[in-house]
Amino acid sequence: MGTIIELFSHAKQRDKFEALVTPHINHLYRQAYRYTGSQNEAEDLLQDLFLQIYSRRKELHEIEHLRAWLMRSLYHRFIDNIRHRLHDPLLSDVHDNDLDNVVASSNPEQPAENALLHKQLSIALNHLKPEQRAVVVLHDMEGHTLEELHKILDIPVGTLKSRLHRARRHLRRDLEMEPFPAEVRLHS
Amino acid sequence: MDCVDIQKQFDDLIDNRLSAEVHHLVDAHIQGCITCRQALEKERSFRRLLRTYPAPSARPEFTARLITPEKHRRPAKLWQGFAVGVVSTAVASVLIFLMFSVWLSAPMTGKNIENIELAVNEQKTLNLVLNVTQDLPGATLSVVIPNHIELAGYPNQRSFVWQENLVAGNNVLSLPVVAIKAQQGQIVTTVKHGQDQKRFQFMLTVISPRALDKEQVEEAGA
Repeated sequence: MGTIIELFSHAKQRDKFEALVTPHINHLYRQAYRYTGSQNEAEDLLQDLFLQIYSRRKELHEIEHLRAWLMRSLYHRFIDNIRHRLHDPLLSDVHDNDLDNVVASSNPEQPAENALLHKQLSIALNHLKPEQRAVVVLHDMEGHTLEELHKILDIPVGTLKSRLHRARRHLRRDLEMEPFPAEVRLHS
Repeated sequence: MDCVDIQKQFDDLIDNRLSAEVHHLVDAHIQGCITCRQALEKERSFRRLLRTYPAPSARPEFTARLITPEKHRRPAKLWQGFAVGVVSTAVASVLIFLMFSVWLSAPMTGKNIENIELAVNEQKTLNLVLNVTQDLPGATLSVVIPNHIELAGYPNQRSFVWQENLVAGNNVLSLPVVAIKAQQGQIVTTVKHGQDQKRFQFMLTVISPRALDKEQVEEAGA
């Protein structure tokens, strides 16, 4: 009994793979960037994802809604990576300093006040659970509805809604953007 | 509805998820309550901040690398069932027994050779048979190639390291090599599993077209 290790794929298979995935790369990259908060981590996440899907490239043309499938794969990859990191003492430190260039580099024309707020938001996002962060990215940043996310991620709307609610609450608190003064919130 | 009840509806109000009836009640309250109007504006600012959170586009060089995933980190590992009729002569006391056999894919199948000759610009697939006596999950394979050849699709890359699950018996590693310039050098392959490591190498000679012509003339003369 033996096996063969194919180190190289056929060029035609690669061309087909390229044609299928290229239209989705930028969309996935921006999503990965918002999930991770840094260019390096976004690239690592996407590389991991593409290595995984490349090994299944023969199945890709049979997938009806490829973008949704890719988004779901990216979501799971992100969650898995964060869990893996939490269990690895070498990787578990959250480096808020890594976020220093996150926002500043993205839009030089952005007003300084917004840039500062976005930097604070980056740090606050980093303190969320990955599932909460992902739903904020997909719903509040990218504008997907809860029903769309239910279809894409196969997660019940109620679960998504409660993750979103908790995530926003944490973010408002960290950013000191709570809509009501403390005495009103105490009654809720 | 008092202000606390209104606060609870803000998420659904902004997300357009309120029923018409509740929407009407919330609207009516907000019209008459400056505290809630200001609070709602603050909530809308928070949402605007989220909506405008920037994300750059992917770097073109990263995108290019991404669509050929085998280029950037480790070779793609694709396994297929493969029956090879090569008899293994395993040595019981050695954990890894590498039957280092190299044969050229088309004309010399099955013939073990240790020195391979290629002409400049010629491409050939070298198949390395790794015979192991037991399954070796997560074995680390590395291949280092000399400067005068390239692996097809991997320009300027000289070393490759990745993990594979080797199974008992013959495992075939296919290396499509392209000859770049006339020179001689070794391809070195290493298999590592736990504390055990086995290294094997073979010579690869690239011959210039002129040398080939000379050989052909000599053959014709003979």
